Amino acid sequence: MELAWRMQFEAGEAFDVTKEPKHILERYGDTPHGRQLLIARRLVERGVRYVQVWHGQGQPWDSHQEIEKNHRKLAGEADKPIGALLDDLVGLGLLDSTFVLWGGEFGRTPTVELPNDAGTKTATGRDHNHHGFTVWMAGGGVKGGEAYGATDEFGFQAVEKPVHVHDLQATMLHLLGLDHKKLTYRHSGRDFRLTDVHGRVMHDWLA
Amino acid sequence: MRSGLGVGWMAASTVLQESLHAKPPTLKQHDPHTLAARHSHFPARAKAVIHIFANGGPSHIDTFDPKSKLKEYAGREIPGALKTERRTGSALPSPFQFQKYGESGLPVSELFPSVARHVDRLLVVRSMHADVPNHEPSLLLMNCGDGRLVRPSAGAWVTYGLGTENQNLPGFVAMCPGGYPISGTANWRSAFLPGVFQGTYIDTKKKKVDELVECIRHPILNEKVQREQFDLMASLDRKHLQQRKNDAAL
Repeated sequence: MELAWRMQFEAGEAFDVTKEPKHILERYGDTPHGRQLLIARRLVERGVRYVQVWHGQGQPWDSHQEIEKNHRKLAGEADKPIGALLDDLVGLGLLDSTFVLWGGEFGRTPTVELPNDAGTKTATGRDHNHHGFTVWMAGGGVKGGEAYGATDEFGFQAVEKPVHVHDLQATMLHLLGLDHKKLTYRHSGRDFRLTDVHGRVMHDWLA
Repeated sequence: MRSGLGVGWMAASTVLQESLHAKPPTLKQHDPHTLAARHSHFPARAKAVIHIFANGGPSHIDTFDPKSKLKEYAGREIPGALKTERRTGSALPSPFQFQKYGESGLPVSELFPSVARHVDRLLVVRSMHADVPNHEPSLLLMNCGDGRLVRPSAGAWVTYGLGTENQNLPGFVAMCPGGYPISGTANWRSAFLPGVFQGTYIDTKKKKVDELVECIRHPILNEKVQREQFDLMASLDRKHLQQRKNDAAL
């Protein structure tokens, strides 16, 4: 309530991208993803701690079929504004103190998804794959220009230096100056934390 | 109603704290129920996080993890293929071309030429794995650290740990155009952490600020009258709290 009152003074301005110069707007593009990545930059400039930017409602990257067409369309929406965001964070001197993370909830299979029995699907896409997938990160104290770990020769499974989601979370908290084992909250009789009883800080990632 | 007043008072006390302390209090000293900025456990490298969520599961082998071996096996079964959620068949080579970029020479597919310009700033982690091949639990694992149980989101934990720099904006914002992703608001929930740490959802399909940020303007009361109303409520709340010996549950 109190925050809602205070937001009247600043949120209107922070979320209004229309006042950005034309050449900036063009670099991000007048699309939902373009506008929200520009808003993300404006929020971080104004001291917002954590910004999550979703590609779209539902699960847009779920290309079970026609992956060539669908991924081309999705990347077409995402690539330019993400590039513009990184440009701006560098230009404004904010990338060093802003941890940017890109990725989904898992990857996709190197094998083709077969048509279903009803025959309503074609064999042109990939199924879900939690055994191995890629995320990238930039800024906030992580190394640049490096690949870490590897999937097998087909891309099915993480085999070299596997990283679990809890390791990623522990490392993100570390970059923010938080010890994932000490950031706890007592609830229902015991202490809880983001990484439960798991998670390793990936010291190899730190710049 | 009472919780509403409580939040108002707690936030008001935040303003008070800010003016009394030159430096933000440490984790131990701070009132964990407010968004006031506070020290980290040790010196931080990052102050803020931008998490760009390609929800639905982007294909690593078509973007940042090229596998030339798939061409060799095109149309043939992959030796030692793993069980998949739906039935899958032979190897499907990527239809996209990869190119090396930057001084590092890391390969990126033709899908991300603008991101590729920054390749020397990227740490590409190609060995991620999760627990199950389903969207809901994998989204919740990535965001909340657990695929099944009700747990606070990473953004909630971070704002709980650090507070936020700007008290006129939410500390944690979740933007998604057109509606919610799968698993909805659970992706940015505070769960059992105090409610001030949950993500503020913004539908970025909307363009006008008054529609983008819901209820940004009070329909009747101006800002001064609203302030007076908050102060009155805060004083009543304080009295309520004192009469109950500062019960922490309030």
